[in-house]
Amino acid sequence: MPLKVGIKYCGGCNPTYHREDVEKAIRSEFKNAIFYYLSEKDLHCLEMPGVLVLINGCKKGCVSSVRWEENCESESIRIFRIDEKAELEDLISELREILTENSC
Amino acid sequence: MMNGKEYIESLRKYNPTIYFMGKKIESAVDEPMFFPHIHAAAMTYELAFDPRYEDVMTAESHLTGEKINRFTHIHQSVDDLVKKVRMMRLLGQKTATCFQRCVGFDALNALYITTYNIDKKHNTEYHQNFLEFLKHVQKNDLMCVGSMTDVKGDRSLRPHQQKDPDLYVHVVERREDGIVVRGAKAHQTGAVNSHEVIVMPTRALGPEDKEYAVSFAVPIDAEGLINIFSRQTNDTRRLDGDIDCGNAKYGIVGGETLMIFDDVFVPWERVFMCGEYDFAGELVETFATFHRQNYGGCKVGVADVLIGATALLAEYNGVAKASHIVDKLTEMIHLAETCWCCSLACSYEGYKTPSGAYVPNPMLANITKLNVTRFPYEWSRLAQDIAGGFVITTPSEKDLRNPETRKLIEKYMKGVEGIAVEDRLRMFRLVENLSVGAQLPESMHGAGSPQAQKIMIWRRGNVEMKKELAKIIAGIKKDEHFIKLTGVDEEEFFKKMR
Ligand SMILES: Cc1cc2nc3c(=O)[nH]c(=O)nc-3n(C[C@H](O)[C@H](O)[C@H](O)COP(=O)(O)OP(=O)(O)OC[C@H]3O[C@@H](n4cnc5c(N)ncnc54)[C@H](O)[C@@H]3O)c2cc1C
Repeated sequence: MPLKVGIKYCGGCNPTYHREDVEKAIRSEFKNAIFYYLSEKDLHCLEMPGVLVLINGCKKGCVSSVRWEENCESESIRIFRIDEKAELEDLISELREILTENSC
Repeated sequence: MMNGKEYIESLRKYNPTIYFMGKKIESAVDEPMFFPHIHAAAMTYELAFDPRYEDVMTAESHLTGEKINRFTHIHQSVDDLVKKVRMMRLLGQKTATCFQRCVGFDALNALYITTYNIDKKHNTEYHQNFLEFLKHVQKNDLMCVGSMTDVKGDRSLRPHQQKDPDLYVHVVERREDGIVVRGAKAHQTGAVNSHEVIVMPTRALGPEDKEYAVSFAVPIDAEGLINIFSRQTNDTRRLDGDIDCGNAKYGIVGGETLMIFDDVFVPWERVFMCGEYDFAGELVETFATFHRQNYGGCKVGVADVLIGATALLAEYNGVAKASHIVDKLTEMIHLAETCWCCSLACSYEGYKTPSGAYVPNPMLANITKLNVTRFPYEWSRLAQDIAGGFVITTPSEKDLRNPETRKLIEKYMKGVEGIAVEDRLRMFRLVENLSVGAQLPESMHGAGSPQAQKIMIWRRGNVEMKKELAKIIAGIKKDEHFIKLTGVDEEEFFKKMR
């Protein structure tokens, strides 16, 4: 089964980097994954197993992982958060680990 | 927690080495030249016991759950950051001067974050050392000097390049039980009335400057620690009564010393960085962010008093209703509140660090401080304009008290009917204190010179991103949204219009 990757962007008022680069990098790294976007209204109906990537434009981190964790009904969802470009490499290697676990 | 009086008495337990005006000062608490500074710092203790202010003046320790003075707290939320600047404004209003305790407070918060990060990378135990120190500070409600600025000698040279290696504080000996440090720190606010000194490096450092990458805490009366108290504008006026100073109770700026570390021993458990030069820059930036956050709080509190004093002088002089006076007072308020906006904004935009502690937004904190290197000059200019020349030529209190001259002063220094001449003189002196003296260079250099802020602002300014935005608007780069708005590519859209 391909991994499902949900993406949630912050509002992007004054990002310190191109947030889209994160999405681009993940998409090109994990070509077989299924990507979809999430919005606040999806908070209570997250049943799809997989991972959620919260992309913040700065360290303020308006899309808070705590809020999403608290509201995720499905325990099989792993949540990752990125606030600056320097964290991209770590994010990708953590995602790679999950992919190995899921042998996708 | 201690109240104001208890704080003052607590200083008696320490015996710091202090020199001033060619003398060794035996007891700082009993030295009249230090009284106003001590009173201003005592206000940070006293208001914590006042139910009208305790909400901003106190916090709950995340280490012990105890109620503590906010000046010893580690920010646990954005709300804490906001309360910090509210506390700064409040204290500025109550003292109309620097109440000194923020520097050590900011050092505590910066070290909490950086020691955590150093340990993570280098497997050291600095954070634990720091936590023990922090508990000691919280439990005993101590005031700490935040000691960052080295004397720096030739500014164009790095620490190890200086002819005299002691121009930056550095480690001269490593022992089994601790380290020995030598050097000097300049402009040490509140040093003569603090309990502890927290030392940090003053700049980013490279491998050759390893011995300068040192941070630690020692009591103010540590052996080998020498303070030479600095002179201030019109300082001896405080010995001449209570009018000529303008603010006899709380003084003017913080009371600074040249602090010399003449081979001071620091036990390992009080060391928070020793050789990790790769974290010196981070510590300086984190401290600077916290410290620059403050200035739109404390200085605006002081400006509130200045605006009040200026408005009163306008009334005493009979010009309060003139439209240009109202306009100038409005401008003063606008400038002050702009700085306040900055302090609030950088606090509200603060965020959590890996240590769990919160830090203000660094860009906005630097903007705050850069504005404070400018706006107080302008609001002071306006205050002087409105107040008139007496702001610097008022007769002395002694002449007012002298029966031979009192009558003449009372006759010729009169303003509008119904206002006592002495009140008018007091107000001129207060405006002088707040707009002519040391407050201005303090706004300029305290928490770093303007260029230090400009460097941080430029680094974080993300000009590349701004260039991209400009290219998109100018039509040099594709605008991904435009096609969605119009249904056609921008080239096609404009071709049709030609
Ligand atoms: C009232 C007051 C209270 C203070 N309280 C404290 C305190 O409690 N604790 C503490 O640690 N510090 C304190 N400071 C110190 C304050 O942070 C410094 O004054 C400030 O960082 C400027 O340093 P400086 O005074 O050595 O001036 P300098 O560094 O000499 O700056 C003078 C000018 O030279 C420029 N300059 C400096 N170095 C260079 C360089 N390498 N290249 C190009 N230009 C350069 C600066 O940008 C500035 O324009 C206080 C200062 C004041 C005035």
